[in-house]
Amino acid sequence: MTDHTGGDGASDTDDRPDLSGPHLSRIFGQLFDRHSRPLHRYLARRVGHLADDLVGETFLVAYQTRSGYDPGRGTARSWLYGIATNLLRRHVRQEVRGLHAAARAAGSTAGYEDHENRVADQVDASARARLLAGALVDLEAGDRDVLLLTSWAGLDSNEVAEALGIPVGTVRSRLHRVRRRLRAHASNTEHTRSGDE
Amino acid sequence: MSDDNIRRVWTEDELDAALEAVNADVRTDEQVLARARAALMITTEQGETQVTTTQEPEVATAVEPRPRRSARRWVAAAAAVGVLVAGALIAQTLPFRGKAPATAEAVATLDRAAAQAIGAVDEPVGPGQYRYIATHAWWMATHDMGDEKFALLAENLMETWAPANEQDEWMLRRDVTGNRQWVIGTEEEAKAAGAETEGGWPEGEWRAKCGDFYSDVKCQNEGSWQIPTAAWQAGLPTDPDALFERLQADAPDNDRGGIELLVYAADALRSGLITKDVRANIYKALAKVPGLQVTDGQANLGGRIGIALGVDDGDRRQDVIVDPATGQFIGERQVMTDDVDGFKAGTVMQFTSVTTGVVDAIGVKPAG
Repeated sequence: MTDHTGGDGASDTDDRPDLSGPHLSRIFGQLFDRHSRPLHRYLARRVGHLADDLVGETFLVAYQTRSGYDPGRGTARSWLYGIATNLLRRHVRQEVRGLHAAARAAGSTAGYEDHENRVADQVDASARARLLAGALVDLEAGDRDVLLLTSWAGLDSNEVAEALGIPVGTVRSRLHRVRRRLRAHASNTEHTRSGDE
Repeated sequence: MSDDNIRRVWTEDELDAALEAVNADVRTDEQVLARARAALMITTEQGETQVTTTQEPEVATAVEPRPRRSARRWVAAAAAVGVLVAGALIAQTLPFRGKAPATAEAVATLDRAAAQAIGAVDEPVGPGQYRYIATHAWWMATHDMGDEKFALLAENLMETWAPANEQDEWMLRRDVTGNRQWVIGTEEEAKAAGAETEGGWPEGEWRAKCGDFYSDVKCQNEGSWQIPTAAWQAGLPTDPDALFERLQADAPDNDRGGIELLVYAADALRSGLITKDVRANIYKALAKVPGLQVTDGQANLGGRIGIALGVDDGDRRQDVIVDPATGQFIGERQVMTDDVDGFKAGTVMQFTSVTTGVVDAIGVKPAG
């Protein structure tokens, strides 16, 4: 959806606006309309109701730091998610608390054996989500950012690299490593919990 | 759990499905967005009418260029590697691409280990006996509290009893031993900050035919680098070039260079189930892994000394540690090669050592 080849694209249409010129109010209004909804959803999945404040703060910080935005270096979307990720770093404790809650949520593990095959698929899916929530807690913050910017915000590796200011090769290697770890560790826990019955 | 979805490692699709499901039930209140938009418009319109100078950024934007790290990484990696021949140092400048061949020193080490492995004797497991495999895994637990971060390595002991006949019952015992090494911060500081540092890994005892502890379906696994059944080992190519191609075909294709090949080989070697001939062939195949080099001539893994062979992906290095004098696989480790997320270059992020023996009964440890 985003063209990464254009280094000088400064129009709104390809999400690389020129923020050094006039009409900032209109441009930021368009940025808000285009990005605020998915951004809010991303923030809410990470830190719950704090997203209500953070979504506005992201755009205000973007406006204040607009001189740091270079349309040749990345899309506005990458830039905004980078700012939002920085803001999230102040709320890691809240995020971890939320993930712990998600790991414990809705229906105890001990109850599963009572449900037969009828609901097995559903149980497995929601059980996996809980196990994964617990595993996300143990990730390093930088790894969690790369994973969730990719999975929840839908950024590709280039955009994640732009957002976090790290090389795209590092994004790919981190993503690969963290996914491999989650596939192995989260399922280990799964085995144990079912084995504990 | 009632179907075959329980398995040792989730598929990529299962992970994606779980990711989609976590915290998926959020909703966006239109009024929240309307208020945020109004606040933004007030700020931007004031900016336009007052012709103010741009405010100093209160928060550094993430697109600010970070300091170039290649020079520092290069120095750190060289320091970790120690004395190397000049040719190896030149190869060192390409850790990302991993296109450089394994160094001569690494190849020589593996050749020696392979020769010794071939000459070794796998201690036979007689009828009614069990191969005992003790895996001491030190894994990192990280507690990120926002402004403070804590990390510790905790020892997990996994003991496996594998019967002479693979189809019989196996046993797995997992224990978080309580042995710890604090890597960032101290226990007191972590407690004071409210971090929960207890638990984290499964403990208990499991029994299953064919060693299928992680699946409801028993004895159907055709084997893999992660679950190296006897049949799977028997089906591996015996020619080192062909085995290397097999490793390339099986390991995920990504831009981590040769590191993924090393990880897959380590998965198999760590199992403690690889026979000496296959072990020798794996060593020979590893000699073909791009970017492989001797990273430590005296690697100490929980008291056992060996030679570490590693590949660096720019953030981290994966090492396998072998004893070339005996051909034994001692273990593996991951070491930071750059300062990332509060971990300094040189920090050992995890390490695993493996010992094996033969015992007469399930659940019994070898004498001594």
